[in-house]
Amino acid sequence: MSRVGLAWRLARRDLSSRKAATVIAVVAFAVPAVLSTIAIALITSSPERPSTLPSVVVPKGAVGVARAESLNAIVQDAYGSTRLRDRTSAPALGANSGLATTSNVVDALGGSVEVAEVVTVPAFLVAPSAAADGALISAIDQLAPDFIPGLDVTMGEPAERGIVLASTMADRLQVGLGDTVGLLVNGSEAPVTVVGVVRRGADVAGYVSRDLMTSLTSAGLPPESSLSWYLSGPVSWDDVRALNRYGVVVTSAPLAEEANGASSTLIANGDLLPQTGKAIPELLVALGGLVATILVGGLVFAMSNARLRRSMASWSLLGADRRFLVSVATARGVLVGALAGLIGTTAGALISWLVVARSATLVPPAPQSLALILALPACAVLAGLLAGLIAAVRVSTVSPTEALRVAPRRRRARSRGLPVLLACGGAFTVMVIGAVFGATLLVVVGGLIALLSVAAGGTVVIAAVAAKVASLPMVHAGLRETTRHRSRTAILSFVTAVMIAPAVSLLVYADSANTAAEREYLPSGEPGAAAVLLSPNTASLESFASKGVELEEGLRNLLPGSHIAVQESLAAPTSNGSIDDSANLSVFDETGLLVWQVPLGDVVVPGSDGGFLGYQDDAQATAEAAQGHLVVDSALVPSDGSRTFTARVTSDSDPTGSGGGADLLVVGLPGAREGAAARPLLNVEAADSADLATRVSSLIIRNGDGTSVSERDEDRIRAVALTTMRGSADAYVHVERGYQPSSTAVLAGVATLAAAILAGLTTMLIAMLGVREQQPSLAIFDAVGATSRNLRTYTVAGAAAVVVLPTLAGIAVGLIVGAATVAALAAADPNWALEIPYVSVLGVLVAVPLLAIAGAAVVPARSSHDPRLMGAV
Amino acid sequence: MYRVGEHEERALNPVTVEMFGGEVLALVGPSGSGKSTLLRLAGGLDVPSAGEVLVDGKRLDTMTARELALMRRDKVGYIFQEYNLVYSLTALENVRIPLDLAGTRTSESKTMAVDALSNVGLGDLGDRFPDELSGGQRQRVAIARALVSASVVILADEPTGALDSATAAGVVATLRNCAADGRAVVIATHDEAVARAADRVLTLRDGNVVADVRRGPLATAVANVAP
Repeated sequence: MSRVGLAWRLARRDLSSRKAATVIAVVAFAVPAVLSTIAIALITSSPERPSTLPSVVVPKGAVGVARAESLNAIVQDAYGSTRLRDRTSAPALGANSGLATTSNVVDALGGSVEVAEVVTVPAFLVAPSAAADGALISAIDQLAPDFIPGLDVTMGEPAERGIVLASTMADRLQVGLGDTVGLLVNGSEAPVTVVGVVRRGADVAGYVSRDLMTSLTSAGLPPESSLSWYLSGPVSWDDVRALNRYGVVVTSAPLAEEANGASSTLIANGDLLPQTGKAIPELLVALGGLVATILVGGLVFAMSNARLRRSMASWSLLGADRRFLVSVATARGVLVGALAGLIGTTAGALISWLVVARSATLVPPAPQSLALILALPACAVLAGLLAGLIAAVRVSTVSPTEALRVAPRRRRARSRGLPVLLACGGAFTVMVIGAVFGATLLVVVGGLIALLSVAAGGTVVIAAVAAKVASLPMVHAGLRETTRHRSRTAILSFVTAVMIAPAVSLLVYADSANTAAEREYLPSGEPGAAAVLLSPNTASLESFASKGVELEEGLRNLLPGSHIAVQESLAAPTSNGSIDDSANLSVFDETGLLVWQVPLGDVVVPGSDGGFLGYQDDAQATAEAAQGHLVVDSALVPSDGSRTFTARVTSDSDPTGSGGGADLLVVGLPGAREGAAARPLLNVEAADSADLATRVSSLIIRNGDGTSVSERDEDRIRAVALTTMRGSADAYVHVERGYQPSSTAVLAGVATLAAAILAGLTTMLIAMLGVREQQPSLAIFDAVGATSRNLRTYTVAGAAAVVVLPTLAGIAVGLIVGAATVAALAAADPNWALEIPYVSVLGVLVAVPLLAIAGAAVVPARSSHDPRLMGAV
Repeated sequence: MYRVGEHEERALNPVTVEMFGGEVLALVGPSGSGKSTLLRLAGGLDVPSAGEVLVDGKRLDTMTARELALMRRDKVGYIFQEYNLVYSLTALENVRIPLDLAGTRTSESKTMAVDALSNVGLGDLGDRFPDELSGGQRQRVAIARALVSASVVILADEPTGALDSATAAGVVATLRNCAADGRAVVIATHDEAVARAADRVLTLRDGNVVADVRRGPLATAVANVAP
């Protein structure tokens, strides 16, 4: 047999002869592979996943924003989120996720929405002027401008092949309505008629009629063409989710800015490109985490070499050279890694498939993730190879004679208490400083040093504890066992801490993400509060109150047993022109029903949430209002998605609100801002000119017990409210639905769970593996009369000693890293705030050592009477 | 019967051996003759597939695992060929193991362990770890551990196998002193000198007792009480 063959055979025999240890090692490798597979699959299955797709050239100011804006409003209306997370344009998705035809989208949405196609064609407009050379021409459904608020669209006669041009483009081409321009597609010129000019779409190249678009499509679009689908309402959030399965939602901030004269918080195409660029690195980070995890498992595996050492020594004495010994040990690692990689990846893929298939929100993983997942077995083999090499080096550097001794000679441990203490303290100080100043690198480096120093210095503490428990012989012996094997203890401690720290960080992150999502939904910090906002804008205080009583009675009949009341005090306290939400909410909480009146200066009604276009400051919104446009709270936007807002507002001078009304165009919604409630604005001049009063009354209803209004009740409440208020108000009802966790928070929760499971299982496996390494000592104790209980005490004490300190250190590091992460997020988004899940952290603190103890208790309990254990003596 | 993989092997044929307190019994015979098996059965490390083993009048083969463990702790002192010391504990702590397991008070067990180590000439090496001791010193630590408790039988498996003759003589002398204290001492050995020092020599071959020779005063005493 060749040397290589012999090495593989010996490796196989070594593993098969120690089935229990081999199973533990395989599981130690496979568990992280399973969880990493799931993590990668789920990350890339999220509708909010970072796009791994190639960037697509989308012209600045793509006209699709009109529909995107409409969609955004619908999303806002339905979901209460200002964050429309746009990921990519459609063509690449079409190529990668099966989105090929409009019918896909229509089918996905059950045909309940109007779907407009957008084709962006990198064609050159060649006639009548060559000045357009190089300009990108956008093609869109010719009705699109109607959906762009604030645009001044001049429409001519419809034409079969029509195009709506931006005024800048029209000026540049010196064309007007009825003129014909040429569209160069794939080298062929297609004549199209200018059917409209958009005055405020400065950088918009052009919009092509659906017919032309169809003809272009049938003629074969250039490969760079982008195809998107835009929707108009009514669209439910479920519809949006369904659409998100195809990754469709394209926005363009620049045009939105032009349309509304304000900056937008929408994620724009321009912002997406960097995100696309980051996509692969993010996944690589996930992969790196996997490799690191497997390496940790590999290190643990490499530690379990007590028997291998003796085998190698025997072979060495028989004449085997070092190279042969290394190949045997390496083959052993590769075999374990390959087996674990295959098992882990397969199991992880199956679990992921089941989760994605049963999930209503997850989409099939991105193709790139499949490639990464397929790479996992290779990573596991690599890790096994490395683990084998480490073991081989450790084993082969020991002289055969020494290895065959019953116990190798060891140097006495020098006390390293002070340097370790200094290193640990310094590392934590560095971490805290890094967290305070937002220096991520410092936090990470400090955390690693802290964990390393705790792992290295753990034996010092254990030795001190051991000295204190001399009266407990088995505990004392168990602790001494860990201090005697310093390197093994240090590695196991480090692995434990490294497993726990990310889990705790994720706990903090997930909890904070959840809170941020709640705050995003309700800036008042009242998650799950369902409210019915009734805004008739007309009733006098008295009549409104009477209507309120009437409504209350109606609701009481509708929802018997619920806690609903009318707040008779109609004056809403204000602060700096804004509604003092907290004051109202306190009343609200007590009564369950609040009627308030808001003076209309700049302020109409307090906002509870941002709109789909978030103004950066009041000045922008005010400036918009000064132009006569109404910037209104999202809660007041008609649920039918229309863009007009009928405002009939009461005033001090005319409290009955009988004076006039006006249809105002909703041009924007103020975004949530830190420290200030969003304020719908209408300038007084515009109100006066419309003969509007300067006061508005609203009615808010919420279940007294704070629970969300159910969807069924929502419709019934709306019906009752509208019936009650009919004839005296232009009333409509908006119900804020209960808080829905964002997919980010859900994913963070899933990742946390995975990390916690990984930490727990790894710790338990480590403990079991450690006990296996102690088998000779266990056998001796058994031989001299130790009972099973004595043996368990011995192993449990050792396992607890190895685990407790790293658990504490891991939790501390995890908390600091999590806090630093949240702090960084809070700097960019005021909704983020540090939330420490004390109960969960306490759970980790208790569960991890308990799992280790359980693992350590199982092995001796199972094997103390095993003849092979006795054989060890 | 031993089960090795798919195969069963008979390690020891039916054999009846009775040992007495104060007697030093040497088990001799070639490798594979059953010496260690007999020793392990007597020490409660193995359970016979058939037959009975009695120590201090109590059957080991019917004992539970816990009872066996307690028997090993209280009644048997076992000296292993490979010493089998716990290498994470010092010599003194190794000697204290049986006492600590039995719940002896710390101060008392420490005193007893120090005395036991002194008896084997290692009174000043108690704080050393096994890997800091020579082979002979380790063996003496193992002997001290076996002798420190009030065991009624001392079982020694090749206790002098790794020792020079002078050290081996010391070990034998120590074991003889144990017998003088009224304990039964059983030594499995290849060493003729050790066998010569025994009161009784039991020769095993292929799992059978082929000779059982008693010498000295104890032999006479046994002969007098024999029916």
